[in-house]
Amino acid sequence: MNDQNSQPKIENSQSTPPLLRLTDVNTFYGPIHILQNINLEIYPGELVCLLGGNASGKSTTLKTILGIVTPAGGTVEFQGETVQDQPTSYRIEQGMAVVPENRRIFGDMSVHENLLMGAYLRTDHQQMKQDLERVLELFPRLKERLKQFGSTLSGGEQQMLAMARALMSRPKLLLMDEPSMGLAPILVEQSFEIIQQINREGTSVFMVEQNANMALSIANRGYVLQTGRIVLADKAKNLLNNEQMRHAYLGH
Amino acid sequence: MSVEKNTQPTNPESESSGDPRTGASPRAGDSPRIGVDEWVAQADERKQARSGFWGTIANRWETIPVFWRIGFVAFILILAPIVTNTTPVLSLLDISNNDFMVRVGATFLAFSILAIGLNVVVGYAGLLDLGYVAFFGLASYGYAYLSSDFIGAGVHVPYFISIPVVVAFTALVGYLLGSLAIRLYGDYLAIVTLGFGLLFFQLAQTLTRVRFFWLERPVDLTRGPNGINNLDAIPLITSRIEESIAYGYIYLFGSTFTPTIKYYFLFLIMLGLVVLVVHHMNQSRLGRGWRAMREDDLAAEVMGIPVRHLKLMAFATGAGIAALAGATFAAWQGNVVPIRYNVLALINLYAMVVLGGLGSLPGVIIGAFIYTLLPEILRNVVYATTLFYVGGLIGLVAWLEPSKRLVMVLGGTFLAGLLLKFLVNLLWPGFDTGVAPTEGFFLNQWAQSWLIIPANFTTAGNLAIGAGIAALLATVSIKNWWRYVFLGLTIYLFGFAWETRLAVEPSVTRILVVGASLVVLMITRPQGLLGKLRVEIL
Ligand SMILES: Nc1ncnc2c1ncn2[C@@H]1O[C@H](COP(=O)(O)OP(=O)(O)OP(=O)(O)O)[C@@H](O)[C@H]1O
Ligand SMILES: [Mg+2]
Repeated sequence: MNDQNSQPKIENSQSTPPLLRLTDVNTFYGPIHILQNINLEIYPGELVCLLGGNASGKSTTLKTILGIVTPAGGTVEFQGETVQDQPTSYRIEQGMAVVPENRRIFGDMSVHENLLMGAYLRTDHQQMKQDLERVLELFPRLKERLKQFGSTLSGGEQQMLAMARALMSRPKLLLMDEPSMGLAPILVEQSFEIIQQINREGTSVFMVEQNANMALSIANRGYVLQTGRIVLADKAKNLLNNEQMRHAYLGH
Repeated sequence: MSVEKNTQPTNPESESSGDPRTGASPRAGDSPRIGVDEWVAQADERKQARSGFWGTIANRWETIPVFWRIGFVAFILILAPIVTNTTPVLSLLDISNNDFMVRVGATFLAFSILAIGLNVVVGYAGLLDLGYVAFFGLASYGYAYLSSDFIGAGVHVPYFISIPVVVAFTALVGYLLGSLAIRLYGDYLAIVTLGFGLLFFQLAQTLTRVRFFWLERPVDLTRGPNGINNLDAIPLITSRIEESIAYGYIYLFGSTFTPTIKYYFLFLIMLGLVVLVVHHMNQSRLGRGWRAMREDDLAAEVMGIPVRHLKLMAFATGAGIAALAGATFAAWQGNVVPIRYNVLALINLYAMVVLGGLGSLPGVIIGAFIYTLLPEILRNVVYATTLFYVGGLIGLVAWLEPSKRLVMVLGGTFLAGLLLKFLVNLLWPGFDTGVAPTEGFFLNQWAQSWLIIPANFTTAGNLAIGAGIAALLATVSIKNWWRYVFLGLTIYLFGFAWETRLAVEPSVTRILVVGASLVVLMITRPQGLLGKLRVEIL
């Protein structure tokens, strides 16, 4: 099942230009060198995951892609355009969206308003309404709670809201920082199914995960980050069978 | 239903609240509905669940369409200066100065505008800007430079040019200060902007001998603490129109169209425009962005909201609004003096915004109203004393509710006071011989015939303020019946402090009252009078 999904895409993708490409990216927090010569690319339609231990720099990679931190060296290209000097809002406008670490729901706003925030840069109100419907179909629980304040949602519901909110911008590339964090096993499975569905409908996904087994089971490819360097990059299937990988992250 | 109505025709409340005795409760749907998520179903109702006196009034008020509500307030605001300036009203209130009420009104309107500007920065954008009064001051000085004899042989730019120029310039300064401070968060932003505010005040006071290398003599830029005088007045639209309005005004109302009334209406027009613009801004995408950014600016950033731009917009808008009020205020007063732009003014503005409720325009205006009126009331011993005792009594009733406890506290305090006075006079004749500075008004006389007033009461009065606050804290923190003893003590001490010190020291009392009202507010209604309750996440 996985092979059917992932195999053909990888072959296609190499011929088309990548949606996102990081070339020799180096990122610092003050004097601390976090990301060291990161190279990665994501092709249209792909579902790619980024694995790594705590503090290996996964969130920093996403922040660099989004422009919350600026790399000291290297280039970030999105749809062939160099964007590392552009502000975050520009990159969102160009088609990135993120489900941030720890969800970061607006607690003082209703679920509905949270969703509208995801579509902040959009002006096509007709389309937005349709997308709202579509997103609420994807997450029926949110539909019941449209008027409820974000802060009164349960952790799992907040995670769904974060995902739904990101989708409201109709992203070309959906970045996710640990979407399974704090979810019960059954919810993890559900949300991974939804991620797959989103991906099947044409959105490329770049996903940071601790849950390496699950992530690799739905991904096309994966990168493994260790203290700021990419130490492994391969097809998901190969990573699942990789000795080192199994030893370090998969735990069997 | 109609039968029930007939049996209790005098009590309209029973209909809405449901009378358990008749058994016909209109809340029959109170039992949980299976299959309906109660939390979801109640989301709307929770907002509406307001009760008590103010809750009822607020609910009634909100059933009126917005258009009529605004119309009603505008009608009152337009009529107020005309009515209050008539002889019968003035003599009723025992006020000899014709323009007094209108002046208070115009000050209220000016401060409403200022507070709305501050509300944009602090309430909407969530930026703790402690340099806000500097923009108010900057605009006043800007207007002084453009419209007085201060520079050279005198520069007299017409108001429809000078005010836009001053507003644009001040907004630009706000923008620049914002871009310097934008990387700072919370406390740091507050400190840097406070520094800016203090710097402005210092410079305004000291820049009297500035040397420019191309000039031989030092130049006086501000005239120091005395400020700049004789600023040009602003006409109502044009001086021709103002003349005809003044003529019509005398014809219609029989009294003079004084400059104070004119500025009252100028401020009213400006307030209307500012409310319109700010409300529109807040309803638009900009306002939604502010809201998101105020709550979590990283999350806002990754929604694509241009956080930096929005912060600068807030700074510039706030500064621009302050400038509009500042220039007009300076023109009204005819002068600029640095003291008007000091930290006390800042505290006053913050008190207005916080009391009314951060982020709520009607709230901020009510805050401005209360804190403008308060010092005026305190200045008059009779009004102040009435407010003090009646307000205190209302506070007591609100806290204890009409109950046995209330009667016991009041009666007990009264008897204990009498007993104390009797004992002191018996054991220590000659001690209770002081004459408090407040005489004449019957409430003062009653209080003084009950209190012990020593000959030298000044120190005792000052001590009583501190002791009263301590007793109040004890009352609030103790949980058993001792609290009522301390409550009695609090009443006695504050009564004493009022009669000996507070009633005749309005400037001290004002600060105490502002502080006390904010403390009470923080305890009972942290979101401000009209602010929305924020749900805390634990
Ligand atoms: N703002 C910051 N300032 C300084 N150091 C930071 C900052 N943010 C992150 N770091 C450091 O950078 C390193 C990488 O952090 P990052 O958040 O990217 O880790 P991560 O891989 O996402 O970890 P986790 O799985 O725990 O979320 C950590 O050592 C962290 O302490
Ligand atoms: Mg992380």
